[in-house]
Amino acid sequence: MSNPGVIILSECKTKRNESFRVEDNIGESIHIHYGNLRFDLTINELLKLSGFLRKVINDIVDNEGFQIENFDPVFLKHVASYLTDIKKIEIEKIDLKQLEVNAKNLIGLPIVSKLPNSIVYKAIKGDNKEYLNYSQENDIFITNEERLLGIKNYLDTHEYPFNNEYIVLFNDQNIIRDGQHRASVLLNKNVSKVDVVRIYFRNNKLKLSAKPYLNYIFVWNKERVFQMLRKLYRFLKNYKIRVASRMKRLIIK
Amino acid sequence: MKSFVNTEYINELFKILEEGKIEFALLRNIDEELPDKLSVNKDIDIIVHPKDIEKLISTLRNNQWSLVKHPWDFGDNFTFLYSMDPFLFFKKNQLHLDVCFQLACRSLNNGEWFPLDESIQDSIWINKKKVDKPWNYVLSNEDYLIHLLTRSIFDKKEFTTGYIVEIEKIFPNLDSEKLKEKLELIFFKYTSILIKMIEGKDYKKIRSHYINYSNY
Repeated sequence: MSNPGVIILSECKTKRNESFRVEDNIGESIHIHYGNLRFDLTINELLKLSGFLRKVINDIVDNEGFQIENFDPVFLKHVASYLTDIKKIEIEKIDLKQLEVNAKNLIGLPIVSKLPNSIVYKAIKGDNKEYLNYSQENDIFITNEERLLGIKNYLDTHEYPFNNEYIVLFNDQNIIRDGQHRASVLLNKNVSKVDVVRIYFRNNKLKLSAKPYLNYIFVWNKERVFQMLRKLYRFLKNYKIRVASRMKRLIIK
Repeated sequence: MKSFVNTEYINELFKILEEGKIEFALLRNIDEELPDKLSVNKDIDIIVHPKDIEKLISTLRNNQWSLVKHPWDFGDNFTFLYSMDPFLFFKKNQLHLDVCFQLACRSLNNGEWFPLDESIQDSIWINKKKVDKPWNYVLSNEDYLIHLLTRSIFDKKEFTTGYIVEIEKIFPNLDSEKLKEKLELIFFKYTSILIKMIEGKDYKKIRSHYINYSNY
């Protein structure tokens, strides 16, 4: 019996390269796939497990400024392996115009730019071509446009930082790591200074290059090689499916 | 002005299929376009038993039909999972024939085509209904409703007027126990709510309500 209403809630590879995936099989159960194992849970069981894991993570990080509830789960997924390296967390006031974002220059090379040059801010100002095509991890079935509209409406009815969900910066850099939409909406509302949370990591971990285009051009680090291989793997996997599908059609022709 | 396909062509198509001893049923006839109101830019949707795929191709080819690229085939998007047979699309004169071999729907994730439960596939051929029309057979009411619902929820992402009319035509006469049993193979615990929503004609809300359902 197969359920056509399956939504992948989250997936990743572990450090040992095992696959981990959480699926919502609508009306049936939540499946957690870990390597070759599958755990079936009810939604209540998933929520209980998630509450328990939140407590565990708060205890592991063991930093008084860190409360997992105050961070976006998607953001946490990306920094998960660095959470135990958190040295200090501070809330500070910053001028929105000092905030920076990762962007691309005219020839598509990655650069660090000021917030008003972000594709999100540009989209709010009406130039949304780049933003609409931008690939980002949204809530399920939410388009980029709907996400931006949702955040605009949210900040019209809730005062920032509602639920202590601050814009996040790392170390001594002003590059937004989480909260680019919020920052752009606030800038558009002519807010000048906002409270942000700054997370300091041991050994300046997660520090970004101020000139990312140099890395892009010259540095073939492990991650980039891995990304290229992953892209190649996906391409070949899709290619195999396409060829198999075409072959099948050719055979029956 | 709408231009319609010549009814003779349509009747001839079904005659060819019948003479070729191909086991098939008409999949749907929204707005009762068949046999005399089918516009030239629309196709005829039928389901053929998978055992007859080769026979279908040779029969149609022998009668000057061409097998052409499916209009939904844009490469990456046209993926069929779980050994499902890909759709075939045939053309002759003004007439287009879209053939599937399993009742299927698109997955919510990447839109791959996905066959419904095997017992539903078996039911198509056990319970198909004889009609006094050139196409001879249609799906049983339960299977037809399943097709209309899965197509609206998973493929079209909305309930269009034509589909609602069809649903309302057959829904009141269905054996509710039999229907529930079949729908549970697709919608699991959501089935009872789905049936209530159809009874309440709450079509606009069904899809988002289903996706957000969390009582399991």
